[in-house]
Amino acid sequence: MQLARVIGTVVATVKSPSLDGVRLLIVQPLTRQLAPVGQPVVAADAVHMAGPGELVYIVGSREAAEALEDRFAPVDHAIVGIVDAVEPIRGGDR
Amino acid sequence: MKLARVVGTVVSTICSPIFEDRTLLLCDLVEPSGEAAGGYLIAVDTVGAGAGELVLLLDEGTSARQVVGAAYGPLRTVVVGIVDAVEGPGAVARVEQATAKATAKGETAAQGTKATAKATAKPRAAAKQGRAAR
Repeated sequence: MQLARVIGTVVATVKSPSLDGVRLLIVQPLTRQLAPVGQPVVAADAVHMAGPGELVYIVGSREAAEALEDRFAPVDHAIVGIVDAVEPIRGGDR
Repeated sequence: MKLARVVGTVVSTICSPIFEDRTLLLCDLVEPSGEAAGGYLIAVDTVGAGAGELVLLLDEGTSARQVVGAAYGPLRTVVVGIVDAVEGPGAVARVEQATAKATAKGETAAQGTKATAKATAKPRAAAKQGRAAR
């Protein structure tokens, strides 16, 4: 899983039936210092609550479809959580 | 499987059900020498790892779900072990050496602030104590 920032949405009327009701968002993958890395990708919003500008984490490949109601939906990236905080390790943090 | 160093945690309230009540660790991928390999992964902890430890990452969905005992779910990366030693050409014999190296690098590199170096050094000692106690 990787950190990503939601930077836009995608609207598609004609699509695979498995994608009905699935929100498609454009996300920019980030380094762990939250700097953009690589190309933006279209990800299915599996948490139904992600919005533009939000820091999320995404999962790629086969596991992306596992996040949706239809486990065989044709997606290769999905937002599986919204990040509240990224905390660096601290002394005695166990 | 991949070698990685735990560098932080990700806190998330709204997430897929499979991640509920699980610890998400931010892990930097590392070379056998202990140096950063570039890139990172967010992984679900299954062994109680933390605080700068060198760990073993499993990055494959079906196996990962098997580890946590889930049939379905968007889980792909899990921490499956805490590394004690890496042996072989170019590898550090003991994890302690790798940590010392990483810490030294953090102090010299421009990107590694003093705070980061401290954060790498301190939890290591705490981690050791924690493991000794177990």
